[in-house]
This record gives sequence, C-alpha cells and structure tokens, in this order.
Amino acid sequence: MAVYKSKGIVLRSIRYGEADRILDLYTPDRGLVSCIAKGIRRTTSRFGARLEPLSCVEFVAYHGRTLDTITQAETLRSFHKIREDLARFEVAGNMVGSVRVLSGGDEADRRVFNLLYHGLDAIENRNSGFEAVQAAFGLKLSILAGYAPQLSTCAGCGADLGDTNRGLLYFSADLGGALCPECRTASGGTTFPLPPGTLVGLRNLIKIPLREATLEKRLRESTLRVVRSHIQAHAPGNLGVTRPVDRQPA
Amino acid sequence: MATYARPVERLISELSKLPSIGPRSAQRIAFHIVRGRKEDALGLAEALREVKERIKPCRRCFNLTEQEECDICRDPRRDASVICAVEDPYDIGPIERTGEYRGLYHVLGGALSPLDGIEPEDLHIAELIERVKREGTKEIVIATNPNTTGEATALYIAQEVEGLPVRVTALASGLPVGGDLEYADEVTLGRAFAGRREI
Repeated sequence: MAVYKSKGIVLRSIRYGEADRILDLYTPDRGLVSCIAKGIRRTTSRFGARLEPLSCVEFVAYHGRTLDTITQAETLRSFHKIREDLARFEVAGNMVGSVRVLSGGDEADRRVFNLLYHGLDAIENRNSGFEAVQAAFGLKLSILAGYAPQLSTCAGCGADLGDTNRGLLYFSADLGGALCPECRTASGGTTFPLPPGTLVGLRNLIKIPLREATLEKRLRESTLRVVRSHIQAHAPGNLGVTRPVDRQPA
Repeated sequence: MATYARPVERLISELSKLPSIGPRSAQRIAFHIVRGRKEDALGLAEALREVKERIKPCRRCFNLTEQEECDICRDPRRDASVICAVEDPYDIGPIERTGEYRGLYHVLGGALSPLDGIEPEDLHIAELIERVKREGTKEIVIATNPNTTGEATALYIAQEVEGLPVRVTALASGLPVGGDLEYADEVTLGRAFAGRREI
C-alpha cells in the first residue's frame, strides 16, 4: 500500500455512497488526482471543512486501484471568504472548471498549481473586478496548457495586428486567435467582432500579475467571450466541459 | 450466451442501476432474492410499484406525499409563518426528530453548484419566493448542508428575498457535540467562535 503526501487544491467534491465524497484535487507534483474521503459527510468526521472545494490542503493518501484514499488533511489556506460570497464563488468556479478542462491529465505542472493558488488569492483579497482575474487566469492557463491564443498577429495570414488602423478585428476560437477583416471573410468559421482595444487589453492581462488584473467595463464582455470560447475550443473532445466555462456573462 | 437465466440476468442488471450497487453486489442481492421466500420478493416488488405510482411531490413544499399536500403542510398545529428550506426530502426527518421545530418546510431539490453547473432554475427557489409572498411568511430558516454548495444556496436565497418583509436565518454551525476540539478544522472552529454565546 503506497502512501504519499502532497498538497493540493480541491477542485470538485461529489457525494459518494452513504457518507463519503470523491474529490478532485490539483497537486503540484501529481497533477489532477481523484481521491475518496471516507465518512467525510458525517458531522463527527475528522476532516470537517478541510476538504471543501477551493481549499488548499496538505494531505496524506494511499493509492487504490481506481481512487486514492485520503487519510489525513491539514488546511494550508481555506479560501473560505470566496465560498461565502456568491460573486467570488462563481468566478472561482469558472477558474477551477478551466483547470479541470485544460489540465485534467495526471501530468503535473507546478505552474498551474501556483497560478490557481494566486488566482484564488487575488479573488479572495480584492473587492471588485473579479472578471479581470478570471480573464487573466484563463489566458495564462491556456498558455501553460500549450494553447496560447494568437493575439499579436492574424491567425489567418500572420499580418501584424498591432496596427490600430486595420479596422474592426475578429476572434476565431477554432483558429485560436484574432483575425483581420479579410481573413475573417475567408475563414467561413464562427467568429465574433472585437471592440477596439480588446486585443491590447488581452495582451496586457497576460503580461501583468493576476493580482493587478484590470478590465475596462466596455471591454468586459468581449474579453470574457474570447477567454471562454478559447478554453471551450481547446477542451479535449469537449468532454467534461462544465457549464460555468461557456456561461455568458450576466 | 448469458451466464444465468434471463430473468436473473435482468434482475442483476436492474439492481446494478441503484446507487452504490456494483455488479458483484447486484449479483449477491439477486441470488438472495432468488433463494428467499416468494412473499418477501413480491412484497419488495409491490413496495417499489406503490412508491412509483402513489408518491409525488407536495404541491406546496415539494416534500414527498400521497396526497396533493403532505402531512406537514396539512397539519393545522404547525406554525405556517415559518418555512425551513432544506435540500432534500430526507433532510426533514432529522429536523423533525429534534422536536425543536414546529414550522413548515420547503424542499429545494438540491443545492446550487456553480462548479457543476447546477443553477437556480434547476431548484425550487422561485417557488419558495413565490410561496413567501403568497403566504406572508415571517421567517425562512435555511437548513441547507453546511458545505460549499449548501452555503452558496443559502446566500442566493437571502439575496433573492432581500426587500421582502421576511427574516432569513440559517442554522448555527460550529463544533459537533461529542467531538474533540483538537480535531476541529479552522473554518468550523472559527465559526464556533463567531457564534459563541453567554452561559
């Protein structure tokens, strides 16, 4: 019985059996792991609230045939303020949904773990602008997963899109980037227009740290649409894509 | 070729659709039924048929009932000015057993879960708000599970009834009776401190 110790962020928790839960955790050294926490739903469970979704924990588990079994857990950071606020919780839900979609394998990437931790930290510590963190998180996660969106040059012809005099630009999730008007006509696929300034805003979100992410109100919807559609398009077979990822902004 | 006779295979297949029943357990239960008394097996079949034909949700609170309204909703001794919102019909039993609550219930049919895509429209929240307006409810006691999804649901309900002349309360959370402080997690212990009382 191989026992291991790791830290992880709880992405999802599903009721199982009489009093158990199956948990998905993203760990820096093992990637996404699925574990069972036995008896966790009992009021006297020693786990208490330690393994609630979004909690960052240090845990001990042993390998099983299909699921690992968690035997101990200690809270490193509960992020309970996120769970106590609907707006924060919804954005955090989108973020963990994106991690499950884009980094769902057992290939570990410490940078994804760190990005998620800092994303949750930014959501918990700011009082507004949660969508900016969500958008910046989605873009950075796409890059880490190997799906960097093409935002500086046209995804069709490769023309430089830094020139602001090119007129209205478009985004094609299928082609993975922005399109000039000519390529948009030729592409024939699903595209949507980008209001002026969207590309600059997107590139800026990639550059700056998550905690400093800001988003102009007029660009909020188009920016989130780019990020959502890009993640959706790169979800492997679109399996396991949760509704929060493709939900339209309120 | 099937391993067992067709009716036995069918029984195993039907049983393995039940939650927490895998193929091996289904096979064990099936053979228990095959070997057991005929009356017991027919009694089980009859109970299954009856529950599916006669049980329906109460039109007022969505608890399970044989009538249009459940026994609790029809009981004139209950305090109709208080509604306790629970996630599932089986949450009513433990609350009733405390003997501390004499109001009515409202079964939400689950809990909001942005992480799994369960939205307000998937639950009976709109019906609760409509009921509060119609019945002039004075208090909603939110008794959803003390976990992430249960608390998201409680927050959403509180937000939706804001502006209505109704008091919204939630069950206290803290340390379980019989537990050791040493094993309490930070969130639970923090809430126990926040909700401390004079003695």
